[in-house]
Amino acid sequence: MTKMLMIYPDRCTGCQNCALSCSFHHDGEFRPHTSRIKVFSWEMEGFSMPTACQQCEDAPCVAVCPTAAMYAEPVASRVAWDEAKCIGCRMCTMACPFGAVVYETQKRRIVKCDLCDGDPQCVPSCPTAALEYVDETDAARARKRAMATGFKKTFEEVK
Amino acid sequence: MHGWIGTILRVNLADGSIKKEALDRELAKKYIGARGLGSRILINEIDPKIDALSADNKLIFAAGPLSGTNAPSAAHYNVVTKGPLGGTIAASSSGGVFGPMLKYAGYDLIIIEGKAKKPVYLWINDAAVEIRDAAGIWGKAVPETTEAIRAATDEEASVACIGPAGERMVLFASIMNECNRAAGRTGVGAVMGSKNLKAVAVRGTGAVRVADAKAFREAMLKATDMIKKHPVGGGGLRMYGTDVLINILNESGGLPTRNFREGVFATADKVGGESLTKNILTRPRGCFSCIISCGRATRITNPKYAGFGEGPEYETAWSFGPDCGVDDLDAVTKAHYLCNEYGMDAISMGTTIACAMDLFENGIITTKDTGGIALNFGNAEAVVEMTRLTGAGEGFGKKLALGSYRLAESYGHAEYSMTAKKQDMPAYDPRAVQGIGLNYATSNRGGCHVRGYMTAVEILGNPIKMDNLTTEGKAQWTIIFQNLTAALDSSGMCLFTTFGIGGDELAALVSTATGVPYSTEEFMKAGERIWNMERLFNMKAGLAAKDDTLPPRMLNDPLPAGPCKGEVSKLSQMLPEYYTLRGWDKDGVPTKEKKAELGL
Amino acid sequence: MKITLRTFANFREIIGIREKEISLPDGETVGGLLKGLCKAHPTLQEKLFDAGAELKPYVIILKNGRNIASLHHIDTVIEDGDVIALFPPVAGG
Repeated sequence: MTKMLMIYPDRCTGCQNCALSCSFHHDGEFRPHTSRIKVFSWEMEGFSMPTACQQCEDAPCVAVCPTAAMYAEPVASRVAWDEAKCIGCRMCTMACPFGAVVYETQKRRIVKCDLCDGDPQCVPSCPTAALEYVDETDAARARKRAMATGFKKTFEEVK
Repeated sequence: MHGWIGTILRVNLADGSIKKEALDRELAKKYIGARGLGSRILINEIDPKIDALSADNKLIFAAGPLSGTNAPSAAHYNVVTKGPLGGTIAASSSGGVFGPMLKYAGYDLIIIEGKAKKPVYLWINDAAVEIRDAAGIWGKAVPETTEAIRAATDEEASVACIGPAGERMVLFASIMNECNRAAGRTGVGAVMGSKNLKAVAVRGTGAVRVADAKAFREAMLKATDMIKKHPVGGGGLRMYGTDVLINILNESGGLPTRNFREGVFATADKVGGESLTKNILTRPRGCFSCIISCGRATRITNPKYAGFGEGPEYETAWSFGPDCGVDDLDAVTKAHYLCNEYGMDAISMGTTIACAMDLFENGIITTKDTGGIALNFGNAEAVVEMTRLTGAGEGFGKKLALGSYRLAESYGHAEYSMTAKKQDMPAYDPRAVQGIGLNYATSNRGGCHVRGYMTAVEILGNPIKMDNLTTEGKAQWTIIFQNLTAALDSSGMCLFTTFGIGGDELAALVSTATGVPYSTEEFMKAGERIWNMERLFNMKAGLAAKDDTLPPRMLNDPLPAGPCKGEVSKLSQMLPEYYTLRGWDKDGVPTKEKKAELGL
Repeated sequence: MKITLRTFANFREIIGIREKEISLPDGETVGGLLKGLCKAHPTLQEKLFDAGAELKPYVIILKNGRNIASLHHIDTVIEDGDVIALFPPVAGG
């Protein structure tokens, strides 16, 4: 069973605990600027959206990488990279349609979600379950159920 | 350094100088950060007798050692200055992301000195700091200011700014960050306005490090777990927001109604958290690193009051609602939005209108004063309009801008102002909640519930249940709450975490973050030190024991109806005990021994 | 006797009414009233009581505006015309 990071922006409060736990786990410090997950907020509207690497199956970052440092890892359902092979050309940054691969200046390295090797730290840090790490096929189940619940209510009202 | 960054930014607006200074670690250990450390530095540097709105006053933005970490709900920073409303030490706390961002930029505190010749804003982009011209944004409301500054600097900048109210030095003007988060009380926004400083914008890309990552993580997980498991911190506040208190205070007979004339408001439920959730809530919101999510994203569709933003919280639902005799949630919310946009404390705005309504109904002011508006209790439209007039500096709003004390005093009737040390009391009637009255009277920044939240034990039964009408044990508990809150405010944590954790957990977080081994006792002692330091400043500023009091209505006029019918505040039974337990003399002055014990 | 029951926050959602006049036998206690409510609304049980049938901490029950903790807890006797208010754990500021 492979899992994916499922994001529910409607549950997100904008607290950024995900970004904090991400940088603390990877770098032992609190530095949301280099977090692999990033939250965008619209304060007046009260809306927030976490964004992270989508771990594409046909990933542009993998396709453009000239040294095969970036590679698909289907078993873990993620895109991984090998720092030893990385030449720091930043092609992956340019290719990613989500802006999810970042070249970080301070430590001169690729920063991208690696799903914490199967135990993404952002998930338990989220106070409202806006992030879930779930079986890929079941990922949309909560939304299906919400839709079905809406239908159920409508039918009950009609009756 | 760990926890602390180790750098203070000092900006002089008069001569344009910008300096970076090393943080004195010994001072930081003693006063922790934010409220405590900011106040210590302010008190070291200003004459307590200065006019709060003069160029001699300083304005300090201070984060705590936990700000920027993932300690639960640790986003808070304090704005510290001498406050213009009460002439007291003023530390006003706000959440959002400003405090953490300041630390990521590389600073624990910013000290603002002097007055700029023309409107400016401060732009802090990590190490690069500049004073910029604010001519193009002066006069703009908070959301427009925030947007314009982000457009001119960086889209991720955290912007702490004043609105038009602060520019005109409305005495209860707030400083707003992230549009909806307020350093609301004591008039800190007026001080910012007096300095011609429109905003402080900050972007930080650096890190906050902790001394012992493993131990900090354990302390963080423990505190988080305790807050999550607590029925209030772990869901209650997220579900209904703070406004859920409307009904419980009302049912208990302590919901101040019509300028504290009464303690019960028949239709309070219409502005309570249950109604808010059902009618206007979009979703809960949280400050940076928050796990509680009490914030309310709301939207009003009623065309008369249409708008969107955050709030109202309990205090503002009450101040514009029951305290003005109003039960129209849409109108109350609109007034709250206006406060956020103009940059005003929504407690003092509502209570000042309530005071004006009381003066109006007693014939002390008439429609001649109010610009033709009938300021009767219950007039929801008038509440919204008076808020707008105050923010915009028009008509009767110019009088309201002085706050309820100076307003009522100007008509020769200060007794209609429901204030302690000239700052308006919040939404708990001291006749129905005896201990909170003692806290209001002794609070170092005047009428305020978040200096020592006695409501927790007296009404909410948290952590223990005390009878709200008795006085026994109240002095001791008030002191415990005041000391704990002073230490907590200095750490960068949100007060609401104390609905799940206490001194043990807070001390563990601060210790593992900073590497300074605070025992719970030492942490609480720091809180006591901060309290006494604030007290000594106020006394040097001219306040005395006679100011540790409540409005005559609280002391003399019994509540007319409801569960607490016939009750008055028994302040005089609690105050001497409070002084004694504090180690102060009968005039409320900290004794030599107490000062020596605390290292003051 | 007749009393008025008022419910708040999620207790209101569970019980489904905001305020209701109800009839109780003379001499009924708060504990008895709560047991009856739990029977009618089983999900209330775990919200009100812990495993040992003690009232859960922070649950607030007012009799005419007075917390039963200052009276006789769940043994507080209800009288004709009383207003009983039920609050789950709440807080704010």
